[in-house]
Amino acid sequence: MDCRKVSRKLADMLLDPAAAPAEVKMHLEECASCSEELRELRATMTLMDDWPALEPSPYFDSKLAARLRAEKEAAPAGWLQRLRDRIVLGSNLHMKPLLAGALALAIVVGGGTYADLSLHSAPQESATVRDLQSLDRNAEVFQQLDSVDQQDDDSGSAPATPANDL
Amino acid sequence: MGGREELGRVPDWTALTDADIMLRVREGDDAAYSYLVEKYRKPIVNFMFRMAHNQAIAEELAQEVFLRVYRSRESYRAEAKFTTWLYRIATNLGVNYARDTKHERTAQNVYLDQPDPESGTTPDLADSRPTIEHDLVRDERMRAIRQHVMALPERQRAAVLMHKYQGMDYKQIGEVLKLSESATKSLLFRAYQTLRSKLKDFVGTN
Repeated sequence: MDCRKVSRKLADMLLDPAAAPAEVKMHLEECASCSEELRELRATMTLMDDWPALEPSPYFDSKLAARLRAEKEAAPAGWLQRLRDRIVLGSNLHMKPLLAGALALAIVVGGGTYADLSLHSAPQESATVRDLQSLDRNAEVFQQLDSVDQQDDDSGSAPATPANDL
Repeated sequence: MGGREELGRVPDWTALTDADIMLRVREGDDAAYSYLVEKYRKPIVNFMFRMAHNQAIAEELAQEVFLRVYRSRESYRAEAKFTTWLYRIATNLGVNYARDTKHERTAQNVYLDQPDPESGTTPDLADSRPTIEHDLVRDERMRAIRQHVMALPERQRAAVLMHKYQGMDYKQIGEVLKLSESATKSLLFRAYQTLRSKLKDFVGTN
């Protein structure tokens, strides 16, 4: 195993030595450079002990108690805040199947709605269709005029001009 | 804070897990809440102290953590470890604060003759007694550690603080940060590599 491959495995040696592969440990026994890098990393971690912890101030508890009293007197969190807390703070592992199902449903509904709209949308009329529709409308008008003429003839009025003269 | 236990009957909190105690908080047990605050007050204050750079602000943020624990008690689920949940709240607050105040950070150089921004003390450079020199070196080392840890990107910083100072392993840290184990290892390793580079002059001086 060469140094480049070991370098990627040094995280295991540093953070979880039991999980490090045997060949990595063997390489470290033989390679001064890699073992020095690991030694320096461990020394850095030890060095960080020099940043001491501090004691909370004696007023911490009383301040927290005051804020907690105000919290209890305030209105309870709304459903949106509770939902946000659950999403941000929860592990959400149990929600993965729900989210997958919701996503699938959204795709089906959204895709189905789009398909439905596409199929039933009114087709564009061609010029030929428009002309034929116009002739149909004209034919209706002629029929109405013919019926008026017929009524006039029945009542004895002057003969009407033939429809084809119009 | 009052509790709902029968008069004179105080539960043995040490016999319960933190998750069980938190479930009691969810049911309205204030004594259970007080126990958890008492137990985690110092670790959370110190976590916030190392995320922020000011003790007063760290305590305010720590109080906010506990308030959010109380406020979100109904969303707590027993399948999550209490510490995972607690540090998730703390990390969210700490990272948000660090990002919001990034522009307020002063120059990265450390000057021995200027007062420490947190304690206000100034080392006395004139005295050359060995013990004072030792103290000066230690102070400089501490400031360098603080400076370079706080210079890490927020998530790396939170991961390092949880690993180094809160005693959490990379699996727990991954659960807090919602990262895979390998991603957490990479995050931590990059952070320690950066710190090794920045602090190499101090290694061996302690």
